[in-house]
Amino acid sequence: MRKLLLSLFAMTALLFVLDRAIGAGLERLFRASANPTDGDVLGHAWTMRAPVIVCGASRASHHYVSDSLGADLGAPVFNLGRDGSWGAAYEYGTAGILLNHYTPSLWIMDVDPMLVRTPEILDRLSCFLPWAHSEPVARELVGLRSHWEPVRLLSRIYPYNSMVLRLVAAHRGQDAAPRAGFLPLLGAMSPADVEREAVGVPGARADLDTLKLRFLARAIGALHARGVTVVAVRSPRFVRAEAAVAREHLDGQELEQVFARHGVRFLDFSSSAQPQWADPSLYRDAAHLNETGALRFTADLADSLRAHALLPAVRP
Amino acid sequence: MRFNSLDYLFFFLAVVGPFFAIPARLRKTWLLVASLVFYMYWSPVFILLILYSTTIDYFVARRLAVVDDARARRGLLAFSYVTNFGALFVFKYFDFFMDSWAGVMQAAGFPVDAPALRLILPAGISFYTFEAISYTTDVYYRKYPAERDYARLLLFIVYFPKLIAGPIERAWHLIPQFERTVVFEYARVREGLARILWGLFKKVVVADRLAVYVDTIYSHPDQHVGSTLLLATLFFTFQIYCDFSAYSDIASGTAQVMGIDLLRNFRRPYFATSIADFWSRWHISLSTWFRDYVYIPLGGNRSGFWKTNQNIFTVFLVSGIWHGANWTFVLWGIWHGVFLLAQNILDRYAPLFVRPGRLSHVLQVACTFVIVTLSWVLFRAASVSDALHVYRAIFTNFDAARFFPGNGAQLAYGAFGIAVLLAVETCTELGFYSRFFLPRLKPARWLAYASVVLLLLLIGVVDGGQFIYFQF
Repeated sequence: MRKLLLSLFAMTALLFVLDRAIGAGLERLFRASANPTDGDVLGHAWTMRAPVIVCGASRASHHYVSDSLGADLGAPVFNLGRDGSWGAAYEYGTAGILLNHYTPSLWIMDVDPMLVRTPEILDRLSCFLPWAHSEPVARELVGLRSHWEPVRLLSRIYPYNSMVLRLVAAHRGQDAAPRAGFLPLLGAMSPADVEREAVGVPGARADLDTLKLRFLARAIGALHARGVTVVAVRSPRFVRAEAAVAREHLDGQELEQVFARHGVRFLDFSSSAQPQWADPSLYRDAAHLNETGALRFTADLADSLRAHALLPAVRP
Repeated sequence: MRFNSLDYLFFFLAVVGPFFAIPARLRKTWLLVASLVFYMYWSPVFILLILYSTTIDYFVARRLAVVDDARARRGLLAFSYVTNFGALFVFKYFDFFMDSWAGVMQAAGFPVDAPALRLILPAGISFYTFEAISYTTDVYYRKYPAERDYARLLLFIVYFPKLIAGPIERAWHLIPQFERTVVFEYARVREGLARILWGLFKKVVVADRLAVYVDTIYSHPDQHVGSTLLLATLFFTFQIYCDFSAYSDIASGTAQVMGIDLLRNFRRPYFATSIADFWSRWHISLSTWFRDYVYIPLGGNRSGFWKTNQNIFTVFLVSGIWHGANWTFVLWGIWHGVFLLAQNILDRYAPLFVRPGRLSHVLQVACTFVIVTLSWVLFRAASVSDALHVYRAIFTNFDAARFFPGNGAQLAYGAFGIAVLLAVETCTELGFYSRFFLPRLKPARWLAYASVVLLLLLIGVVDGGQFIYFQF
């Protein structure tokens, strides 16, 4: 028994040293990468101290042309959109971490019904793992995944689980060149895709998720408490079928009510609200604008922000 | 409680620590309590089903021990079979048979509303049912004495390392081991822990990683071309092996730490040189169960060539049904049965002139691997039509240009896991592991253990899925 305990102790010590060494190496690679999927995109945002932040899911990442919007608004913009279907917990976590480092002036939330409907996929909160050791908000969100997260976080490698190849690739310059977080999509919808959207029937409407609504309230509350102007933007989506257009209209009314309760202006660029967005040549697929569409949308958004006097204040 | 969870790690420590600390006479009780907690952690209510069937088997066996009348003995055995198979049928097969019946009636132009139970399948029911059946059958044939101690019989059924997905134990093999006084042996415990670690690697790094790609492709096989489906099938070939053998490794390793040897379940099956050889290496405890309780009672190989083959085919048909209540599993069993028959017929009537040698060995392994890999399409597909689509796409719409790579990093991790697995299995198959690695190279052993743990942290799928055989 003594021999086993000694062996286990020695093995634990060896693993501890290796874990710390490899974990430190991975952390270095992570901090150096600005890849929106596997890089320290938040670190880059707070280093840049951009007054305007765009946050949301893949539609945010592909729709808001950071440099173009920044030029229109006269202030740097950083896009924190992240591929995948993200709910309000992502907004809360991102806002919480960023506010720990600096206070932006304008926070643009790209929203769609998924922000508050369908249950939050807690497993996806693993995107906050790399910040879990240093940021209380990240630790709180990661803790929702499993009650074993504090134990797993004893490892310094664990926060970078499954990221090693991407981090190494980024380090070797094989990463997509980031444009302040904006990732353009090239190409256009195929005629078959357009045809499919014309006959598509929307699925059953999911319920509002109380957890997501709570996170949304906390995110907006934290931003307002620091004097950040928050604006909710529904960017365009290609919708053609009559039932889908009706659903989009209904969703828009609901989102407007949700944000009105928090004193947040809701800007609707959906094709049901603004018919010029029903042009399929502006889209890569039904949910995402291509680069041409993104540039046009970004220009329209800048005009709309100006019209509503939502320009970022210049902070000292 | 999944073996690939931290819950199990702490459960394991909480069971093993006291196991060596308490007096030997209390260890059986301790293991029984631990096993019941282990099972009830998933769903407390289904323990009642185990208690029900075990109680009946206990009394049936006690009666079999004292009754000599052949007819009464047959009646008692039949009662045990009806109890055990009845529960299995109700929970696992009732809806399948009803749906199939309704399908047949509809095809015949008489649509019917088939009743459906839609019950939750109790974890491990296929496994512990077969263990219970083997016990009463062995008592019936007087191969094993009826158990006097109810707790010992219950422990045989619910012993936690093998309860959910085997190996399918036999009373004569496991129960006497509960009576042995286990002393702490460093080498045995180390071997057991190493086995658990290797099992975790296979599950968390290989199987669950490959599952990400396989599940994506097989959830919509109609949207993919043959090249993509072939890779997904190849990945599933390794996924299912790593998933199931990982469970067996962790089960055997856990038992080994506590001084119990479970039946061996796998012996590097993808190195098999024929389908018969494959089944002597894959899920061995199930193959031997079917041999002892189906094949031999049917007559085995004692009634001539064609009757033997008929028996073999029956065994594979039943084996397919055992795996799941779906026609895909039935066809999977038939597939293996047909290839085994083909092999037997060829061996008898047209033996190929193959000079024994390394090349012919490699060719035989490769052919068997291809046959087995293609059979997994049936095992993995959600329906027969999906499986047919996969076969059609692989052979008529390969279209490598439209190959779907998914997430490149996922593919790379999966391929890396397979490479490590094959390297280790090849070394073991060639005897390097037992000859060199185990006795001599302590630093290499330590490096291997540390590497496995680091790989679990680096590329393992944390909170991955349940073991595939859990559903059976």
